[in-house]
Amino acid sequence: MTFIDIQQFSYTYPGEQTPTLRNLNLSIDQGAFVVITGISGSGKSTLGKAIAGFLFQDEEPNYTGKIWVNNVNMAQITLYEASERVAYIQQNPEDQFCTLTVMDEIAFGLENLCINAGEIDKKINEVLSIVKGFHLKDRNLATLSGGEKQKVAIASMLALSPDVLILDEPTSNLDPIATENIFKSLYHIRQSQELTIIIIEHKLNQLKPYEPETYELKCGALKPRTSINAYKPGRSKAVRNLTTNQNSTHTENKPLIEIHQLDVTLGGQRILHDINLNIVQDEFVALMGPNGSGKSTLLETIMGFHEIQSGSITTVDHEISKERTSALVQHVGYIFQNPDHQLFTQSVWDEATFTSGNLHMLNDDRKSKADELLAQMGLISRKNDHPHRLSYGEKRRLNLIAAMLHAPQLLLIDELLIGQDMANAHAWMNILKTYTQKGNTVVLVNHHSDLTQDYCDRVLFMNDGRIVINQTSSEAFKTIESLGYNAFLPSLEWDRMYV
Amino acid sequence: MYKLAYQPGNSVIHRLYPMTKFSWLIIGSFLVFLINNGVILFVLAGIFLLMLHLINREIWMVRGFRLIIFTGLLLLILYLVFDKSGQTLFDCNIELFSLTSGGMNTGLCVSGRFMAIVFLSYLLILTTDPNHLAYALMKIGLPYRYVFMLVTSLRLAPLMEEEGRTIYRAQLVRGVHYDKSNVKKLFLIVRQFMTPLLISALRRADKLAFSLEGRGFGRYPGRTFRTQTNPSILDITTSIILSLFFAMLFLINYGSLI
Repeated sequence: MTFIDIQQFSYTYPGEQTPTLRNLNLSIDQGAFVVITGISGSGKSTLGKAIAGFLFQDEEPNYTGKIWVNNVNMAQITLYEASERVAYIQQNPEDQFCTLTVMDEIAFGLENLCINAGEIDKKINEVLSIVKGFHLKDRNLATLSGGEKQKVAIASMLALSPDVLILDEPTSNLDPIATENIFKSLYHIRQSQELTIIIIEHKLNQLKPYEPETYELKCGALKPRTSINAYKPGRSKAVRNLTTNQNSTHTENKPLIEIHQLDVTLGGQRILHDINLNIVQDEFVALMGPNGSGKSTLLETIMGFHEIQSGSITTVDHEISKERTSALVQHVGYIFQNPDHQLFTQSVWDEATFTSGNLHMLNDDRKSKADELLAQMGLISRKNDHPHRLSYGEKRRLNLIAAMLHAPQLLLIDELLIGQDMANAHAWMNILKTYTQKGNTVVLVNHHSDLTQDYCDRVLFMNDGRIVINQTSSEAFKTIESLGYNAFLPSLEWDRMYV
Repeated sequence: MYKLAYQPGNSVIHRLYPMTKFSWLIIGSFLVFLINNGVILFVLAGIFLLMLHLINREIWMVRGFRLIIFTGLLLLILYLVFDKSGQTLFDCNIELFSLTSGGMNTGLCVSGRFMAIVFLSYLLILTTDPNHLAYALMKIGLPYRYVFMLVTSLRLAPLMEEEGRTIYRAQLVRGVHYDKSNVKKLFLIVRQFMTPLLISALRRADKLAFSLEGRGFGRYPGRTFRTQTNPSILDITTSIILSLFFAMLFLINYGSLI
């Protein structure tokens, strides 16, 4: 029986000319397990919000067509009524928490609906057992890991007993282990609760075992239903062949980062244990590992943001404990996780040339280099736009240009590829690879094993504050498998294991 | 140094119902203005300080605390030095250093009041989970839509603090120098710091609104509250003791008038 019925649906955001969704037709059965995929900006989130009834609140209707959920026209009911039928979980669970503790958070929606207290307590226990998060009951939200937060977000929506659960990239901030965990939970929830679950997702490898119905959105239109195994994301073979990994070890090159017996304690908790590491010129290094294993802290310490308890770090000939971070700026480019935190100026051009300007290095050569990079990254036409008007992917590209323009020898990147589709991700890895071939070094925190295998020379795998694997990419994945971190294996390995 | 924030514990004050503490903070602040005997006020401030010390041995390490004590004592000294009204209590032939009863009483009053109110607020802040206070406020009938602003700010404040730190670091790695800039440049840098922080805060607000609406916030004028904290016998006893205590202070203060 068709449960969600979308007919000839188009939607244009207020103030925009081109429709985000165009003449979409889709029917989903009750209890289906559906994945909607597509490149960034293809309208996936918009479709999710449309089904959840969030797009029909504007005064002037800017949609055509119909969306029915369980024989109710979503455009004709209030948001409150819509939310009783369809629960929508946003990308980052942190953004949707309204309270401070796990129990308050799950109770929140029920309290608003004036359900009595005894009933609420029962419901809290029930939904926490469904997401297998009963042990989290008495915790404070701020102390939870990313995966645990996502579980609580799901539980708090399940508490409202919706018919449909929509998750917008639920795993984009999670490591492969937590991702696997969440997908597994969702699959079991759908089975035990007879819920219809729609997941909006880029990462399809780990969904394969659950055989979801897969739909691809392209430029606002929906391609016909396919099996997840038949779905091939846009991957260019030429790119792949061009950059086949040579696995050279570069040991004879000049060391850029030397770490010796490093321990770092933050807020009374030891985050890094006994780190020993050498990274030399020309290397493209991937830093992998579960959430909370210390990857970001390691990068931050290399840049001199943290006090070192014992051991030593030398970054591009500067001993970190003796020098200020500002002394490193000329030699090291650093990209943080969130693009919004690192866009300061009023135009794309100013942003691209910001660091060079601060370093008094902005000569004509550098300016033409900036033009060249902006053109290469497809941002030249937006040169005078405000950086915060760019899309997420565009902001990320601008971050990259801004960090690279003054040609630092070392580029430290804390996750570049979150929320990017494969075609984009390959393009960026190519740019970084080329950068290392010009005598520079890149250290990239990356959860994407396929890309690591294709492009990186070396893998550092961290767990619990220690570097457990430090090998060339090809050897590293063998070790990762032998140590049982299967969720971190590239997709070919996955195919071998599950298909 | 610690932040001035709630610190979990199990003292009598910790166990009081948040509204009891909140009411006594307001009553207490009001009463110290009715008392006009400097010695009583100063002793009262001393008692509150002792209580603070008992619930938190490291109270001196709370940021800003030493400044409060310093300001309180400075107020006292300024009055002693410059207020020469009343009888002379101590004469050392140099006018500035002689003590008078007027200066002494006003000094003790002003300084005692100031410290008593601040210490009382510290007692509330250090022993009350703000989340519980917010829920208690909603329970006594304050519109929950407004009190939730308090809960939301409590939730977002640490996140914004963290964001602020990241933005500062992001500026640092892009060659921004806070210490090497003139006033005009500094203004620009601060603006460059505030822009991303503000944009991120607005974005958060937008997403939170989405989440609130999606979960029926504001659908009905009332709502249920799962947490059933209620005033206990402890609150009643404490309130009686405090009433008696303040009555006694009044009696000492105004006793001669009766």
